[in-house]
Amino acid sequence: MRYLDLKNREKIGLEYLINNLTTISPYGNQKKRNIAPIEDAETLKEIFDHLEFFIKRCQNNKKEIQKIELLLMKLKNISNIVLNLQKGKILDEVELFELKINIMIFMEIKSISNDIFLKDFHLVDLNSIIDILDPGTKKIPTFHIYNEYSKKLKDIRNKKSEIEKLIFSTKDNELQIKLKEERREIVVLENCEESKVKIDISKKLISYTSNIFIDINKVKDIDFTLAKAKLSIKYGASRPTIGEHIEFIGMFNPEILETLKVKNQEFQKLDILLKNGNTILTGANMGGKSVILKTLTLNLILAQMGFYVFSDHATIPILNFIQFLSDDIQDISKGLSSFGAEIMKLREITGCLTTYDKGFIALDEFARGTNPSEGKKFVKGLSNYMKDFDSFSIMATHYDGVVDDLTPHYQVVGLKNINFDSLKRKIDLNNKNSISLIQKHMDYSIEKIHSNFEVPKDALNVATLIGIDENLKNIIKNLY
Amino acid sequence: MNTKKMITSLFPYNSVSIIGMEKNSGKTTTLNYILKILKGTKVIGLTSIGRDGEDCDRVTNTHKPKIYVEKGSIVATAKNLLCKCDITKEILATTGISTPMGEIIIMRALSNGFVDVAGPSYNSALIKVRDLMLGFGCDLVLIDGALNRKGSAGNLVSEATILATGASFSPDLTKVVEESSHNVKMLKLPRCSEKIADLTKQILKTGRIGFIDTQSNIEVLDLPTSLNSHREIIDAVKPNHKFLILGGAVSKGLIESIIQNRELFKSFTIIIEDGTKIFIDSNLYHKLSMIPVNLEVLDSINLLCLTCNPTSPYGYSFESEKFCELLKTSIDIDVIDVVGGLL
Repeated sequence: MRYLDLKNREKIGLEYLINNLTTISPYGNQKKRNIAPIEDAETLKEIFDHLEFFIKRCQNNKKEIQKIELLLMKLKNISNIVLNLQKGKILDEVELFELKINIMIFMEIKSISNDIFLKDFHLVDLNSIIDILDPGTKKIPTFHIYNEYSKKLKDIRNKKSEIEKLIFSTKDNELQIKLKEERREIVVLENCEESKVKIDISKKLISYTSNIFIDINKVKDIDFTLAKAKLSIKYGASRPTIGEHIEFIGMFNPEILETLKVKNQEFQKLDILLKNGNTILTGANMGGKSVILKTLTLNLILAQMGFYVFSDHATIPILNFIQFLSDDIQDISKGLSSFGAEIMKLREITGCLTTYDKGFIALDEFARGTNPSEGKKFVKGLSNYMKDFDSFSIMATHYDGVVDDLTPHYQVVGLKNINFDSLKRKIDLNNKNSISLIQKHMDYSIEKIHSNFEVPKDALNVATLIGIDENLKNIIKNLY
Repeated sequence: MNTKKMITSLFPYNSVSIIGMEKNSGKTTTLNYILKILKGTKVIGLTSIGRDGEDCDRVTNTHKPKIYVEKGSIVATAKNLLCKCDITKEILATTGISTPMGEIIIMRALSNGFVDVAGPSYNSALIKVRDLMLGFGCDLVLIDGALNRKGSAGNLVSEATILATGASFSPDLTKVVEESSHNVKMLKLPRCSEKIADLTKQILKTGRIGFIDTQSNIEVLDLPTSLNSHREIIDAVKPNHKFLILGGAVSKGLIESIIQNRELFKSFTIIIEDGTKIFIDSNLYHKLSMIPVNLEVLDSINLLCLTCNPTSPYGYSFESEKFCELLKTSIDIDVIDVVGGLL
């Protein structure tokens, strides 16, 4: 898939977000399951305009929005009924009931939403359908084949009612059997006349089907955009500017933010700027390189799908593909080792690179499954290869010496500014919580490295903090 | 019991279920009888658990009576059966509950007529349908319980229950009376004490099967149901255990295993959720009480009366008076002959 496969969508937290999107009606839910990235800048801008408008409405017209939401809750999916009608099928009374009820709700929504929403979201008038399905203008949310539809039906039903009274009052068994027989005949007549009425009504309704579909789509858009607006408000997401490069200031990941919130911790917001070509990301173990790649990819695909992004400010280009190579792909079912699976994925990525103009690729610890001296060559080679394309790529790596002066290089600050001995003492006092203490002191922010720095050698430090056999540590230390 | 008494006994309730001991025990006849005596006094809602009320019994191929409702009644049935209901129908709601015969639809009868009722087949959906009908202005929802679906008599679903018995159960009059009285006994099993009820609820919160010992400590077994877990349950018994708590349905097999291991269960009390959850005959119950093992329930069922149908659709019938007389002497609740008239 051009915009991430399902596994990666889940991995970067897209599934989590979509599940958190609170669409209410069956139409909104349907739209939620089929969100596609948009490749046209104008369309995307328009969607952002709509979203901006809806966010304002959610904040300023709370009462009306609440009413609309209550109405959305009552809706059932009548698409199939309308389709059947369009095909010329005669609707039965239950289908006519569903149609009537749902269109009554549509009109209630219209009476509120047309006043507060943009013209693109205005529902069309379907009151003529209600007139057909409510001949007595009783405005009650029920339906039956009303007497008003046919004089003949009314007469038949009067006869039925008379005979029922007779049946009840008759004590004579034989007469009762005779009356029941008579009633049965009347019931048949009633059924025939009801069928005629149903044919009549269905024919009359055919001409309205395209208008019903218009309103179904409007309701779908209202529900979906409302859900997006609520999500944006919940996390303080912001509208991205469509530009030529990728830039996020104060970027965060809502899923991890929620997890940290439970632990009473905060997400350290990130600033990052990506220009065409490759960017390298290095950093200490446990420094959150993978989280950075995931968060960046998540925000890019969300923006492309017409969502606000989880960042204080953002610029995004229109991307023709988004690819993510995670650090733990392995397809045992296909008999592939992690390196084999990586190369398969790489083939897909280079395919995208050569086919489409502009895309985004995130590579997490590429070639880590093979021996380091060869792996390094792969990473360096790939980095050089990407320079020739207009696409954006970011590679997180442990390998030294991959970065030349021309390749932009970000580094997780990590434990660089920490007084190592004092942290070690703290951990020694409280051995059980070593991991959470390291996490607490880890600086997850990233900084741009301008000269050709070495990859930080924090592995031994982190291992020492977590706790490693003293002799083993000394042996390793001597090898440095 | 006379008509007046029957009407008065139904009056305090919003929902009453009718359950049968066997197919053709006269449930529909009982239902029609109730509909007739309540005519004009209450707005009746009607539904069933699962499918019932066929023209012809699908299992035994015998003729079945139809349900006749009065104008104004509210009926919940599956969509595919609407064509078999000859009332003039006003559709009130579609419930979103699907059954093999289509979605459950709630309608109002705009004329008198025959209806074919098939309601939801599980309790939570039945409760939803019941509440919707009450919301549409029903005074009393009658639930027709299908074959062996005694679950509808549970307190969550209906406030009171009527049990229907009849000649169709067996050609042997003594056997019918014995099993009817046994069924009444099961439905009217005594409620356990407040203290034990609290402990039982605690057990049922975390699991389905458990024990309470003499010191009121609880032990929950890691079993999803008591069905097919006889061995595990028996192996878990300890000398200081006093109560065995069985959530969900209790099968004949488990009770047989308990009887075989009678030494372990001496002076035990078995607590079940309610009298509809146990499926044993009078013989087995007798053996159980000989150990002795007590049987108690968490929720007792409000059994209003027993109705009897002395005629069997298989072509024989009992002498109505004798049948009712025998039932009355062996059962301490009211007995009504819904075919032959009132007693």
